Amino acid sequence: MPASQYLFEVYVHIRSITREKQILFWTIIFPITYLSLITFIFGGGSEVSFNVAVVDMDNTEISRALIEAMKSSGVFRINLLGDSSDVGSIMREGRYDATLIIPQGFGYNISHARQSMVSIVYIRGLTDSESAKAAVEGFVRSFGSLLTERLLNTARPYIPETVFEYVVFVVKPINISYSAVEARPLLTPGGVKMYYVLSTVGVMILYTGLFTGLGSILEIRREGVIGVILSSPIESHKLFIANMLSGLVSIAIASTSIIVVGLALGADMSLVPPAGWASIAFLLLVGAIGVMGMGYLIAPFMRTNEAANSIANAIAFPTMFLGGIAIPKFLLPQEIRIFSEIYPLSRILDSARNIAVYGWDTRQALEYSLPAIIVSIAAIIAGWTLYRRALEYAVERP
Amino acid sequence: MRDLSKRFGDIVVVDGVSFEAHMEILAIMGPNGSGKTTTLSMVSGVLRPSSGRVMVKDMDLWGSKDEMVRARRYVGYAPQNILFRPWLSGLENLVWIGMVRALSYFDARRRARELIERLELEDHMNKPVAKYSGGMIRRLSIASALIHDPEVLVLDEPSSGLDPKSLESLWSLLLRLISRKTLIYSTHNPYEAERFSSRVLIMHNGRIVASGTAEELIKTHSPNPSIAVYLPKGAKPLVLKGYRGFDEKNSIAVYEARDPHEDFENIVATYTRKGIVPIRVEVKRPGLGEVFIRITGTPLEEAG
Repeated sequence: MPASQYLFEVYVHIRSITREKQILFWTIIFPITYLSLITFIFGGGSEVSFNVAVVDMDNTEISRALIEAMKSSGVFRINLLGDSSDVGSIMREGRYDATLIIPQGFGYNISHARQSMVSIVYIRGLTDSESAKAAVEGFVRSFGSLLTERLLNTARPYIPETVFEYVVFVVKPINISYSAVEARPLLTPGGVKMYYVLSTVGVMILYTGLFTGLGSILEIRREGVIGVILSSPIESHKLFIANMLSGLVSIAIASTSIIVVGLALGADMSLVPPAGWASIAFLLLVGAIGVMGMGYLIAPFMRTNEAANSIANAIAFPTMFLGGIAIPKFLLPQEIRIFSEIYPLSRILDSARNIAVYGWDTRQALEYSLPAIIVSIAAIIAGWTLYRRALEYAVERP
Repeated sequence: MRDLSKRFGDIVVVDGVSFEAHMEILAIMGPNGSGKTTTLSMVSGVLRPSSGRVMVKDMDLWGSKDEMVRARRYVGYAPQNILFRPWLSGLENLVWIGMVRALSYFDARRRARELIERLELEDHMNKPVAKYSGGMIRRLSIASALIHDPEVLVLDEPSSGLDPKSLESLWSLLLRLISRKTLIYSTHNPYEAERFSSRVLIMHNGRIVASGTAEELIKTHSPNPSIAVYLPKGAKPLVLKGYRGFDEKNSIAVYEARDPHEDFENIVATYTRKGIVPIRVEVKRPGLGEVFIRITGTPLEEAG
């Protein structure tokens, strides 16, 4: 029996890409447009910087030194304001994440060994503003510690050793040591783009898998198609595999376009070893089969193409966000992160992404995704059973 | 086909139909709902019979899984409204159907080109099917049924909607393609059945009510010519000896003529006496149309 019976739907799909604009759009144009947009918006890497306004009412050497230090840290984009009278409304306009007010006497107090103070204005509840407040606060405290260390070193000859140690303890009871480790690719722009390349493949798996599964039985039931299919010398498992292969080839074509465009946009694929790629390919294949299985499970309840399309969209659109498929899980609120932990495609996709950007090995990835792999295989087996029943039903009733 | 029946719940659509066909052209006629399409669906492997058997080359089309697959290799079926992928070309549609019917891609392509040429579609083979005319679609349907070179061809109303010229053209192409094959097809057209079929089955209420060559059927069921009286609009037909029925749409009263000369004169004279002057009166030689009306009680105009 020739392999062509497994491949007829693949043939139809490939020919359709060049013949039908809608299929060309969904297979190639949509995924690369989506990837381009998402990497343009989120793919800039992990460089964090805050817009901070500074009102320097002190204007002394010490206040200017603080401002210069903030500027050179690379964390803040500093803009000097003339006075603090309008700070509240400026902040409410959203032009700055935080405002640092250095009052008059700031430098004098420090140089005369008196406690000095600064004010930070921020917007409560706004994540960026809260983060900027914490960053400015941390920076000012570090600046203060540095000053203290200098003053202590200057005064050290005049202080008895036992008292000095106590003073050092009072000023800085805990020391922090820092160990730098090599940045993970995710922390680089290329790594972030690679992450989104796989996320876009995940989105395509979600949509194509669901549409393939959900539309399968409707396609058989279509008057004029069923006659051709059922009068042909083809077994039901071949029809099922042909349908699945068509979906998988569609995903493969989309994925190839995504990877090519991802490389052009600067996605870093260099750190994935060949075995890693094999694992990623395996995981994505299982993920796609699982999503199709879900589609086949719902397919018998679909009566029209419109209903199937609506259901596919109703499942895929929220899932791509809530399941952490289109976006990283850490961006999700804690309460719904549980969904991405149990949703099979999310778990499988996460394993693939972790191989690509966090250097997971195959064993780690398989251990993490094993429950999802089992569920996916169960879904396709159950889907196949329903598909076969739908065919059996079709030969009983016209 | 032996004792084929199909029930949907309590409704019996086909009731104990049996017939054989071997390297011949067999037409199935019958009014709507008579069970023609259901019978063809069972014969072609699309619809499982409730009881009975369909044997193709000694294999049961509805037997074991293996037998079902093997038997279907010898059967080619084109439903009445085959749904081609409209954005694909005629050639591409035939290739995928060939692949479903167990041809390799290359064989399907070669065979599709050959059929397209023989069905005179070569100028259109790369055009999307959406741009095909009704006649071209009919020819492509026949090609789809013949793609794997089956020995039995089953066509459901292959000429439906075609004008007489296209019908002649379709059959002249079809006859060239089906030598040494068995063709079973359904039709509402008595001319088509009479002219192109070696045998005709007439179905009514799910049963075969008559079968034989067209000549035999005419001889048995309607040996006498008929007289058609074309009446002026609004005129009522007269129920005279041999009255068969009245086509209200065209105002034609039909009578069976045992002696055409005498009956013709009598009918015209009676109408004239009653003050109705017929527009035209024709003596028609007996045909399958008359047989059909006599057996089913349904004029062919209403049958499909």
